[in-house]
Amino acid sequence: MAEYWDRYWRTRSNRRRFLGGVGVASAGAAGLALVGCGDDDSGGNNLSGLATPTSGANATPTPVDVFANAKRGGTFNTFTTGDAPSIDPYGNGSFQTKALASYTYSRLFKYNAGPGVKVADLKPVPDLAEKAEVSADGMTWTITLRKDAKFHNVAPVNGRAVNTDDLKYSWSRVMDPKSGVATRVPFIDGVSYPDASTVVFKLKTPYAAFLDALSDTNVFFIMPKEADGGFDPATKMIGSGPWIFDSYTPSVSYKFKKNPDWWVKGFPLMDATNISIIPQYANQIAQFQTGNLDTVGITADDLINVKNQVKGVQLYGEVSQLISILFFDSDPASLWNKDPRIKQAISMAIDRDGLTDLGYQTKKLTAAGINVRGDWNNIIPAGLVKYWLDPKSPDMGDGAKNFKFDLTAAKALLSAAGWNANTEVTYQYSANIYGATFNAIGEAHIAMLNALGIKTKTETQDYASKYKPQTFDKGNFSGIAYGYETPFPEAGGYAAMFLPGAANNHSKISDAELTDLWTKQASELDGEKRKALFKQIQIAHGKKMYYIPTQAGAGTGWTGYRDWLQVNDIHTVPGSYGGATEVTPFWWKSQ
Amino acid sequence: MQRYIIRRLLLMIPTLLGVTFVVFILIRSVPGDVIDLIGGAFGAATPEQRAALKEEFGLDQNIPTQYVKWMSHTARLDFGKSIVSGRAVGDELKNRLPVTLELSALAILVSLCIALPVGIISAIRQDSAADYLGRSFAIGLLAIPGFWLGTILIAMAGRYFTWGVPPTQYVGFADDPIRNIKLMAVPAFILGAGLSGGVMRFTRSTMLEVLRQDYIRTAQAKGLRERVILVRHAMRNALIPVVTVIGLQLPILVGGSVIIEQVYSIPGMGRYYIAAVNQHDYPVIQAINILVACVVVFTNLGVDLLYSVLDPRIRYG
Repeated sequence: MAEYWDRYWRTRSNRRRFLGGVGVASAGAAGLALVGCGDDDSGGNNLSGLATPTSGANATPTPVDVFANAKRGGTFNTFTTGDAPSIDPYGNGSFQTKALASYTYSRLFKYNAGPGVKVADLKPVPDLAEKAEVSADGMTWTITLRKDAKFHNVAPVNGRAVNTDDLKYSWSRVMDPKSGVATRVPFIDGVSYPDASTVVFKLKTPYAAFLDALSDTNVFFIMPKEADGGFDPATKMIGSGPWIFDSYTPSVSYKFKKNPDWWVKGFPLMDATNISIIPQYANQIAQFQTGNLDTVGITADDLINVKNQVKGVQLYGEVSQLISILFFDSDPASLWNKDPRIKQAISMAIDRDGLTDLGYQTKKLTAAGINVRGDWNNIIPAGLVKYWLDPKSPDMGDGAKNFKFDLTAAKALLSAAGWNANTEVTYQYSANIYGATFNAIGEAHIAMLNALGIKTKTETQDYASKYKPQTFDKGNFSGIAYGYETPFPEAGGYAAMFLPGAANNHSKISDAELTDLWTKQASELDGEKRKALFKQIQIAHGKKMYYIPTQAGAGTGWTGYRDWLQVNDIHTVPGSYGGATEVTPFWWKSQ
Repeated sequence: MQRYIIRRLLLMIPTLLGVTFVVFILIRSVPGDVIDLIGGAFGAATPEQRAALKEEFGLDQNIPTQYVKWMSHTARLDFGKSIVSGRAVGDELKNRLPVTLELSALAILVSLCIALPVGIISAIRQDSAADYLGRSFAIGLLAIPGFWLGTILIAMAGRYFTWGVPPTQYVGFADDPIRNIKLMAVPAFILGAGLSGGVMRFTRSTMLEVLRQDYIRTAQAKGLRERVILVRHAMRNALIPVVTVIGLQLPILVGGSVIIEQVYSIPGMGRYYIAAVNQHDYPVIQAINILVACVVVFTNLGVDLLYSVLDPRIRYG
């Protein structure tokens, strides 16, 4: 099936019929390469990638074997665990705000989720953009808006066409300190708007992940300029995306209706989306069992039960793009900052397979015949397959031994580094935010550190008041901390953890080799070469172990769908917080 | 009586002012800064940007100035806007308070339905099997955590009796009474059962005390029927302290039903409060605290006034 789609899109690409195959890899080599609607033979540089079924008036017909028998209508019943702090897409940096925004607001680019497209193959394709051109030096991106893009037919916007005035307003929201988004686009030097349908981004340096940044739901949602006084975006959402905002009842639900004027003609297939706010896991599962919810996230502990109890349930497992890390204070007096062997020893004392089994029930599920992944996170998550280097692979070189559980060798290394067994280290993490799997692994670390001979004093920190603002954001802590790294849609964000001055350099690492590699990857527009650079980054870091990747996030996460939901092998988009634009418009219900 | 009520109402003013001051200061003493939380990923807002944010939310002014400004708005029932969501706090409270009050009222009703009969039977049949059973029942209800019971009931319903799974979304009583009660019944039972243990034990001990009073013995000597003695003489006197206990439960329920609201997806005050605390959303925290303080002082007044209804000997002047 996947091969069929790959062939299908490649064929379409060569025939220059579709919008959207994104040729980042070729852009540098091709000079002023065309990204998007190929209009000449240089379009051959485009890689296949579009899996969104149609793309407006110029699109070829929808593949008949998937959507021909699609049943239209009905309501998609889903849930979220809590209220988004704000429904204004720039009102808060929370993932809940961003996930909600992607129902209503378009971006310039999105990801190419579609039948048979694996997470590893996701890449940016045009959303509100029609095409994107990059200059020969990679410093200027010119993006043309699609002509058939309209805002929702809701006052005061009333279905008018999207133009660059809206982009100008939206970009001002990006740069507003309250949005917290500007820190995600430090590589952009300026934005100009030559005409009503063209926007030009001037970069400070060539940046390979530029289109990923525009696809990222953390960055650039297009709002109508009327949001500047014409309506209150904190209470009303008006965009140009697939779903029209219907209502928000705090702590109860969000409701959306389908946008009949969406430029992806004929979609969404369902008439409405009803998102219930259900914080408690047991309630979510019960609602799924009774059929009140069409989909639910299922923990590994419950997977077999749900499989046995819910007739016809469709289960989908995916490794997330999350890494959890042990990170260290930046105090030059700390022994681990004087002798790298201490961090290496700690990494060797981490039983990664044991942690994966603890958090994700790998043995139990495997014994039950369920296929689960038990890979180890590198400094790039195991779920980001395109760039991830398997720590067990021979390519890891000398660094591989630092990932392998070997307590005897770890103790010897620690002793050689002169560790004083009486030294007590503060081990801190937040236990009130990430859930049971994260917490269980966090507690297991303590036992592993103690087994190595490191005395620990555990400090569980409140996420909002202490962990996030102090420990994680600013690195204001002493000892060892454990947490998730922010999920990034592509690998550059993770590698920035080594970049001096980067916001997510939690341990204030400064390493010439890693900085050089990061700088090279950022401006490398050839996809394969860039991939090789990320491999080098992981090899180089594996030897040093500035941050110790651990296993929360590395196991398989499970989603259940009721049998009546036809998802067509189109699943969540990690870089897009679920994919309300990329995914759910193409699902339908058979009853 | 009128003078008493006026005096009590006047006394509420310094009490509530004290609460506003303590709440205002305490919130600002909690570690962490709301500006860090809204300043973007990695707290990366520049000092200039942080200063601009502080100015926008009035946090650049000194504490007394902030307090006076806030109080002047609060006195006009203007609770401001949430720093995090930008939504009017007053609107949120208007929607959420009735939900929590409904849940609390139902919970108190449930607790009374359990506690009073069991407590009274336990007292009049002291040291009998019924007494031991009743007391064990009370301890059991006290001991079972509401979040555990709630979770177990939902999980069991999903597996074995799907009719018991609560509706996915809350609906107001006026909009759909059946659906509303279907959602509220089980959480009200769980909350009420938890409360009933304490109330039942209190009812039993006050009943025992009253049953030993001379006037009860006199009534028995006069040959009054036991039912009359219990209902007219014993219960009426025994219930006065019980009313106090029940009255004190209301503010606890208003501010403390957060866990059951989470489990059953009930859009009450508790969930709003917890989210606000996690986000350091000062206007929301302050408004809810004031509201709960008002519920406490007005409930206390109500309870005191109820005394005179239950016991004609009590007169306020």
